[in-house]
Amino acid sequence: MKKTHAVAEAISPMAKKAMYLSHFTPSMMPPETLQAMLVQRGPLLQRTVDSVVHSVETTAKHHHLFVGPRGIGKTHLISLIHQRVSQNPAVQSKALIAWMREEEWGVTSFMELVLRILRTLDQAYPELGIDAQTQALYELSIAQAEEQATQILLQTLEDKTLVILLENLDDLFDQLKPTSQKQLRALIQNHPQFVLVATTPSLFTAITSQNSPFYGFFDIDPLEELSFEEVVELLEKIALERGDTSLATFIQSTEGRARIRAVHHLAEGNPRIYIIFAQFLTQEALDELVQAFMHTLDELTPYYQARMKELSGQQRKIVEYLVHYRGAATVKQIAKSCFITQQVCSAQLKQLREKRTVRSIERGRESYYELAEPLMRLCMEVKQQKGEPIGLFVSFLKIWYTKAELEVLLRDTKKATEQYLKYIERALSSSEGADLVANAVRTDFEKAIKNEALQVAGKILAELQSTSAATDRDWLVFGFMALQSAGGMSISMTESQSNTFVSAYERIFSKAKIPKKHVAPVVVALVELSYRLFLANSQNGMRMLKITMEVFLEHQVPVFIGILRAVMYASEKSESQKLWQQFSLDLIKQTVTVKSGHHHVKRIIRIMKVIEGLKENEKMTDSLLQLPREERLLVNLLLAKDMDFKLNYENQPSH
Amino acid sequence: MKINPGGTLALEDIVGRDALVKDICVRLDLQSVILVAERRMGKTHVLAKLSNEAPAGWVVFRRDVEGVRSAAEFVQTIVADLHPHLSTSTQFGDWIKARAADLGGTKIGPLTLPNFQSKHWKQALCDTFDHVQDAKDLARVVFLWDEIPWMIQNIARADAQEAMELLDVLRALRQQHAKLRMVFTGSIGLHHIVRQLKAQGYTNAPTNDMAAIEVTPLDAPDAIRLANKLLQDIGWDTTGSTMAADIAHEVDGVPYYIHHVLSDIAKRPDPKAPLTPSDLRRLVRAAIQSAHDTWNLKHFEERTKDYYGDQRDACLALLDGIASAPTSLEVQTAINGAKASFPDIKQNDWIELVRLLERDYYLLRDPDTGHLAFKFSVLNRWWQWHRLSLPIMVEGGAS
Repeated sequence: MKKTHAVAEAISPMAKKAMYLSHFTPSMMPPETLQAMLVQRGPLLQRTVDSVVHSVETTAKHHHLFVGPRGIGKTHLISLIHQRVSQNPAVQSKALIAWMREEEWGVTSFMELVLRILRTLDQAYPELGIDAQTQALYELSIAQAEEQATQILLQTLEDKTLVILLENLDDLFDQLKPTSQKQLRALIQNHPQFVLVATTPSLFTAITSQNSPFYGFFDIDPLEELSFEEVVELLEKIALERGDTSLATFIQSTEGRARIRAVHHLAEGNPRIYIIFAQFLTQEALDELVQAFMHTLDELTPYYQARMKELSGQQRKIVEYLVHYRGAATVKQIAKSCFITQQVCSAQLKQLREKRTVRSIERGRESYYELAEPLMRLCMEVKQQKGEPIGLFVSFLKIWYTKAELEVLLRDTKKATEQYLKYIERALSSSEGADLVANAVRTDFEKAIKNEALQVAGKILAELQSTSAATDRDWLVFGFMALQSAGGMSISMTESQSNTFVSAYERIFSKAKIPKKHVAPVVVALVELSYRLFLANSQNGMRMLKITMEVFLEHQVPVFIGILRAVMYASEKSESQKLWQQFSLDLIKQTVTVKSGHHHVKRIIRIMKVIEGLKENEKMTDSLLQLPREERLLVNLLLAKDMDFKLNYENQPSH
Repeated sequence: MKINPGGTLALEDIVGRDALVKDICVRLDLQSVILVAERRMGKTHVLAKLSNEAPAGWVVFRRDVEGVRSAAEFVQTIVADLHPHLSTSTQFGDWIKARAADLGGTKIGPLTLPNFQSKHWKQALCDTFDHVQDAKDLARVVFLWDEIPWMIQNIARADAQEAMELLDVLRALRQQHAKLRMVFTGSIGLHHIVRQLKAQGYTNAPTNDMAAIEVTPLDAPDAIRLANKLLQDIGWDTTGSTMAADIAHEVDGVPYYIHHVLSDIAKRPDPKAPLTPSDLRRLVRAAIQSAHDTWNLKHFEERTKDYYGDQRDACLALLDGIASAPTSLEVQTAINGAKASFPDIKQNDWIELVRLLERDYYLLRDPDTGHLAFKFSVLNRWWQWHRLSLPIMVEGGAS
């Protein structure tokens, strides 16, 4: 069903605003919008502004270079730097600012660069009358024009500082031969009035090679991808910027966070992709935004196509493989998939890295390779799809909307353009994905567990719970980590979490089959953890101990060890610990009743006396040797923990 | 004083070069000087300080000449620098006007400089310095030329003969004019450029009349003072703290790396949060291990290709062997380790390679034992991690 002309004309204010955001040109956006959408980089922004101001106010000069792939936020940052610096009183009186916009094509010599700077200054400061002075240059020889242009620039500055904001420095330096680079550096060194603040998609030879004039010249700041929390913050800010408070609230909910986590995996931390995705967060503008998004990609695609054309056939094969693979792959994997030898693959990857098309991640002796720019993948997918819905966005729809919501969208014929319907239908029919969210959340959960980031793991587990994908195993892993990290101190588990943990513990351990030789240390460890849980939540701690005893009842000696440990923990006189002691003794009674008679208690007392004796006098080994072997093992085990205890014998049941 | 890795420091913020500048001035009284050092050691700042603190009565000209592309252009810069001091001389003024009339002139503000053509630059240079010698009010004239190797390289690319002649003329001028002194320095060693010229038939030793003075890392008190100043800038209370000493030790007292360490400390979420010595070691290790190479250490490996040509692999083998050893090595032990992979290289050639690696700041020989180690522990650690995939074994502190 085609959209009516009337509907096409009446684009809602929200759609307009969203389109404005999606066609993201930071250099043309009002400063308050840029500031509202800044995440992660507040301190970096302030530091850079401070150093530029310092460069203007003193004879020191700081030069900065921000490095990061397309869409990472370089222009956003430069725009904010420009905005803040230009409002600074010291800069207003003592400096001029030349903001050289994103692409400065056609600059192939030092003279052309100087002319371009002069032209930029003329546009920003027409009162200086620079244009009139530069007209005469075109009548001169190149050498004379170069000299004169430099003089005009220096005379224009007088004693002021010139702050040059320069984007895509790599492209500029690719065009400027080393001789011109040296002239530029000589100008900066001989006339310490210049400050460079530049950006580049990645480091390049003219900066990194020791033979290059600008080696070591810049204070380099790599711009990092957004972390998950920063993404949540960004999307919330975008929602608030659009006046959508209910969306902002949803974003911070457990369910919202789970969905965003899946989006995070798709977008690989690239802010521009998030900004594009953000447009899909409300339903109203979906159709227009597909178009707006395609427009953005249309602008980027020629750039990436040009880069692909520069590559050899084998290199293109490698890049296409990495586009589809969507992760970081080893040389062996890439070589195999591209039907080339590892040696050839390695050589080609080296060149691709030098061209800044791929980047490598070192893990020990292994190198992994991935695309340097996530937006490149998007553009190439679009090109390959040939009008079909873009895979990435279908995945996004599946993450963001439930099946029921997608079906509602499909039925909503008011918005039903062909393209719109294609996306919804594809999202519904795709076999990927209800698991997309759960998989993404699970991946992050396991990473948090591996990194022993307890609080983060707890938050993610709540998200996993909201997707109904949390398993008993997940709770067990989390609970054990929380208990082991506590070390006797307070445990970072809420009551609700510890309830769920213990229930999961019961379900898993009731079916667990542990080899006999491992039972003893396992039981001892579980009893210790039960005690730690008891300190935070007495009910759940006792519950866990009881479950442990019941599960391992058939293993007499380990149970005995466990109980003994349980009793030993209660040697202090605090109320809660007396409670633990009493509970443990009650368990002993039950064990005695059920299984093997009251001699366990006598064994406990006998062993305790030996241990106390050994603690007072290490040489009292005779008493140790009088014990049966399994009891000697127990004593050694207990002594190894070096626990300082005294058993209150008066409370023992008399037998 | 603000943290500023790689940037230009204000004069008052240049720490620890007072003794060096005094030494250079003493030496300049006797002869010209060539300042040598690894890149980013602070040579340019030494020149800035020297220019500012030269003895009374000296006229000092400081210029970065890497943008100069011909000998004629070089002569123009010299004339432009000298002009304000010689303009009262009628003879000089007449000479300039005559040259401009013959050769055409480039107007630079109120000054018209002659366009010295190829065949004229030599004579113009000699004439200029004759005027300098005649000027009674110029007791000592010192030219501080930064990046002169690059300038010679630029000139040699267009005309190797011209580059050779320029070097020879400059030497001759130093011999002839007692009041003239020159200080050469540069990001690459002039000896590399001279070696390239020798391959094209150049037979002279153009700087054998100049004293080589090395710009070394800061000594410990100065390195600590620098680190303290930068810590104070980010709000640290340094009273009683050993952090500055730890930083200085970790990075061998190299001011560039001190600024980098402080920059990394300042970039933490809370710059003032305390750091233990092991936190500091971790921070330095992270910078050394970083794939972004923010400390620009990779170039030490990359430049071996330019420096050593087809002997590169042998040099790398030597360096790998020394990096993998837990302590310094006897020279022969180091050579034997590398020899296993390159059995055809003769012993004398190995000795020469060791000497080249010392000259180019990779290695240092212990003055007492003669054992070899990396000159900079920072580079040693980088080498272990990036070339040998070894966990970093050495502690900070230069050899």
